[in-house]
Amino acid sequence: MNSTNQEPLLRAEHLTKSYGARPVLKEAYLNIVSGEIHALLGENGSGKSTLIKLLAGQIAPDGGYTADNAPCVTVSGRSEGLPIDPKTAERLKLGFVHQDLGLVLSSTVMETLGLGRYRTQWGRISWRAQRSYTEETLRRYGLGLSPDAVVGRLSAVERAMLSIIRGIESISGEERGVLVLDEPTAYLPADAVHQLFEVLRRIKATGSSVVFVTHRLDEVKDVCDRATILRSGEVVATMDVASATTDDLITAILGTELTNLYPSEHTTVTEPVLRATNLSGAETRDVSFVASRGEILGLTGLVGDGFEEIIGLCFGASRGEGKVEVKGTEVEQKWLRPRRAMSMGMAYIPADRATSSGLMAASAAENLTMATMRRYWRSGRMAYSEEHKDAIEAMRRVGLRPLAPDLPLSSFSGGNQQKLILAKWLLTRPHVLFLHEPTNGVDVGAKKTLFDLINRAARDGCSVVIASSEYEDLAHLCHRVIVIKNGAVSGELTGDQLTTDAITHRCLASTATPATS
Amino acid sequence: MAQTRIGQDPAASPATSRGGLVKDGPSSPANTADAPLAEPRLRAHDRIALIGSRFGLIITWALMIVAFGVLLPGVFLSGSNLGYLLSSQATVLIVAIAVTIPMAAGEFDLSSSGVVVITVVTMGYLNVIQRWPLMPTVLVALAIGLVVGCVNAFFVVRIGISSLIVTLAMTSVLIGFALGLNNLTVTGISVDLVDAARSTVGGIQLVFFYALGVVVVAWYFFQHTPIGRSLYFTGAGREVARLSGVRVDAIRAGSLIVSSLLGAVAAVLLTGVLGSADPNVGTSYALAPFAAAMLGSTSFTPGRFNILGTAVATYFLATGITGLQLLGLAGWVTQVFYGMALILGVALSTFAARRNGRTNRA
Repeated sequence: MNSTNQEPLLRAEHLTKSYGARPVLKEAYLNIVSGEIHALLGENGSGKSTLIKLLAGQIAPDGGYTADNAPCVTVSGRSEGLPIDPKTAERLKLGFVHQDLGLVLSSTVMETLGLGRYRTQWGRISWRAQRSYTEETLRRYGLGLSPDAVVGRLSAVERAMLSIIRGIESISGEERGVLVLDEPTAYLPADAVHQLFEVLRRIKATGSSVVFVTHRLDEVKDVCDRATILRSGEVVATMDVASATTDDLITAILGTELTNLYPSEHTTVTEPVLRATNLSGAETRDVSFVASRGEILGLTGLVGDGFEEIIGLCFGASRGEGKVEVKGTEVEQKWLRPRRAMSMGMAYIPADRATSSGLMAASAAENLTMATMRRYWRSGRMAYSEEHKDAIEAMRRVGLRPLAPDLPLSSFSGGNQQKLILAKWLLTRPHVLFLHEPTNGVDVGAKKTLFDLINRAARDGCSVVIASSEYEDLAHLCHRVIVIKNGAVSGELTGDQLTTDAITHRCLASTATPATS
Repeated sequence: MAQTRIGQDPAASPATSRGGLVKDGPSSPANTADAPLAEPRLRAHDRIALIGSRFGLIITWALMIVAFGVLLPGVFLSGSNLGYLLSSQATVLIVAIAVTIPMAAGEFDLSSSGVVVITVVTMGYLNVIQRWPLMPTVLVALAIGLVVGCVNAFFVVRIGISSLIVTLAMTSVLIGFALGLNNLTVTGISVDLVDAARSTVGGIQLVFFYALGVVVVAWYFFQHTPIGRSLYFTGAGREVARLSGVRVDAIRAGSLIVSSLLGAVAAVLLTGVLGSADPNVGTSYALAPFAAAMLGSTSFTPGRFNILGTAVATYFLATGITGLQLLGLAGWVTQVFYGMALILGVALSTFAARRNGRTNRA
C-alpha cells in the first residue's frame, strides 16, 4: 500500500514561519507520494494550520533564507517558490478546503461550484451548461440540493460537503493533483464522514493524493496510509499508519504518554433534576426525557434528525413547544428564554464557539464572568479586582494556559477556548449543563481535560446532557444515551449495551438514505 | 510522574503536557504549574506600540495644541479662545456621547442630526410663536426625542431592519417635518433657558458643564456597571450575549432610545446657547459625532467604543478646526476636516479591532 520508494507527488520543504518573535513552524516539510491519504497530525498550536496556509499561499514564509533553504513546493516535478498565488496552485493541481470553508454565504450552490471555472459558450457564461454540470455533480456526491439554493441557508453539514466537493472538483482532470483538507470532518456527522471517506478513496485510486488534517485518530486509522506529525512547529515523525497503534500516534503527538482518555464511570442516584415533556421544534416532535442528578446523558442520532435541537429548546435558545422542568420549577417552552433558563439553573454551551459561545475580542476574564457578572456589581461599582482574582482561580482550575485573564479569547487555542467557556458556565453552579459537540476542533490533550471536567461536574451533582454525533465519546462518557430519529426518541442505551457499535447501529438502522434526506 | 499527575488532576494535565512539549528534561516542572503571569511578556517595542495606540489620540492632541500655540502666539492659547472652544463644542459632545451608546451595542443612530433639528424648531415654534412657557416646551422637546427613539427601536429591534437604514430614513422624515413646521430662524427664546446655557463660570459657558455631567454619567455606566458590560457584549457578539443571559433586545432598544433622548437634550441646550431656533443647525451634527465616536474607539480601550475616547476625540477634532480657521482657512475646512476624520477614524478603529483579536461574526 505505501510506496515510499517512489518519487513524491508533492514535496514541500524549508517551511519556516514566525509570528513576531514566536516561531510557529521550524524547517517543516511534507512529502506526499502518489495515491495516498496522508494525515497531518498535531496538537492545537503545533503548526498544522500554518503549514496549510503556507502551502496555499495565504501567508508568506519567513524571509532571510538562502538559495539552499528557500521554501518551495514541488508537485509532479514542477517546483515553485513560496508563497504561490491561487493561479499557480490551480496549475499545480493543488486544491484546498480550509477550516472556515471559504464560502460566499450570499451566493447560490451553482455559483459556488462554478467559481473560477464557468462553462462558457462564445465568451459568455452558458448557464444551461453550468446548471446541468452542477446538478450532475451534486448527484454524483449524493447531495440533494437545488443548484439555486443560497449557501447561507444551508445547514453546517451541507456547507461543509459543498466546500469539499468544490475542492475535489478543483483537482479533478487528467493530471494527478493533491487535495488538502483542513479538519473537514469537524462539522460532519458519522454518515457524511463515511461518504467523504469513500470519495477520498476514489481520489486515491486515480493516483491523486489527499492531505488530511484532523484531530480524530480513529479516522486516521480508518482511511489514512501515512501520517506526518508536528509538535511545536517541527516535524517529529512520519509514520505508516497501518503499523502504528492509536497510542503510538497519541504519544507522537503529545511527546508523552496519555493515560486513559476517558474518566472512570461513577454511579448515579435516580433523583430527577431535568424533565423535558413533549418538546417540539423545527426538527423534533414530542420528545420527552428525564435526566438525573449526577448523570451524564447523551443525545445522539444522525445530523439533521433533530438531536442537536433538543438542548437548545430546553435552554430556550430557540422557540418551540412543550414543557421544561428543573428541580420542580416547570416552564412552558414558548415562554422560556436563556435568562429564565439560567435562573432555573441551566447552562448551555453551543457547538459553534466563534459565533455562539465565546466573544473572541473580549478578554478571557470578561468571557469567564459573562454569565455571572452581576455578582461583581456591588455598591454601585464593578468589583474589578475580585473579578480578576476569580478569573485567575477559574482558569487555574481548568488548567488554562497562558494564565492571563486580560488577553482576548482569540489568542487562546481552540481547546483552551473551550475549557474557558466550560469554566464560565461552571461558575454559574448549574443544576443542568447542556453541551453541544463539546470537543469540536479540540486536540487530544484538551479533550481529556474537558472529559475530566465534565465528569467532575457530574460527580458534584450536576446533571449533564451532551448532544453529539461522536459516538465513541458518548459510549465512554455517558451513563445513558438516547437516540433520536426523525425528530423523535427512537431508543435508549444503558449499561452494557452502551458501546460505540451499538450507538452507530441504532443511529443508522432502518434509515434508507441518510445523507440525502 | 507526569503520567500519574495527568490521571489525577485535570487542572494539571495541559500544563504538564505543555511542559513536556517544550522540553523533555528535568527543568520542565519549573515552567509549568506555578509561574502564573510569566507569559506573555511584552517586549519593549510592543509595549510602546500598546501605549501608542492607547494614548496616541491624547498625545497627538497635545502636539496639535502646542503647534497652534506656536503658530498663533497669544491667540490660540488665550483664555477667551479656550473658553469658546470648550463651550461651542459642548452640544456636539453630548450628541457624540449619544451616538456612542448604540454604536457600542452594534447599532447606528444616524437620526441624531434629525432629532436636533426637529427639537430646535419645535422649541422655537412653541416657545416663541405659540408663546408657551419654557417648562412645557422643554418637556415636549424631550418627549419628541423619546418618541423618535422608540420608533427607531421598534423598527430595528422588533421588525428587524438594519439600524443604518431606519435611522437614515428617520433623519429625512424629521428634517422634513421640521421644515414643514417652520423653515425660518426664530429669535426670542426664553431668557431663562439662555441664561441657564450661556452664563459663564471662569470664562466657560454652563452648557459645557452639563456636557461634562453627561460624560461622567455615561462613563460611569460604561465602565462600572453591568449595563456597560452588556452593551459591549451585545455589540461584540449578539448571539453569544443572548445565550449568556444578556437581554440583548432591551439593550439595543434602550441604547437607541437613550441616544435620541440625549440628542433632544443637546438640542434644548443648543437653543439656549444660540438664543434662537435655526432649522439649519443640523449639518454640524450629521458627521462630527460619528467621527468623534469612531476616532475615540481607537484610544484608551482600542477596538471598543468608549466614552472617554469619544469625549477626547470631539475636542481633538474641534481643536484642529478652530486652529485651522484661526490660521485663516475659510469655513469649508470644517466639512472637509470632519469627513476626512470620519474615514480615518473608521480605518484606525478597524485596525485597532483587528489588532485586538477578531470580532465575532453576527
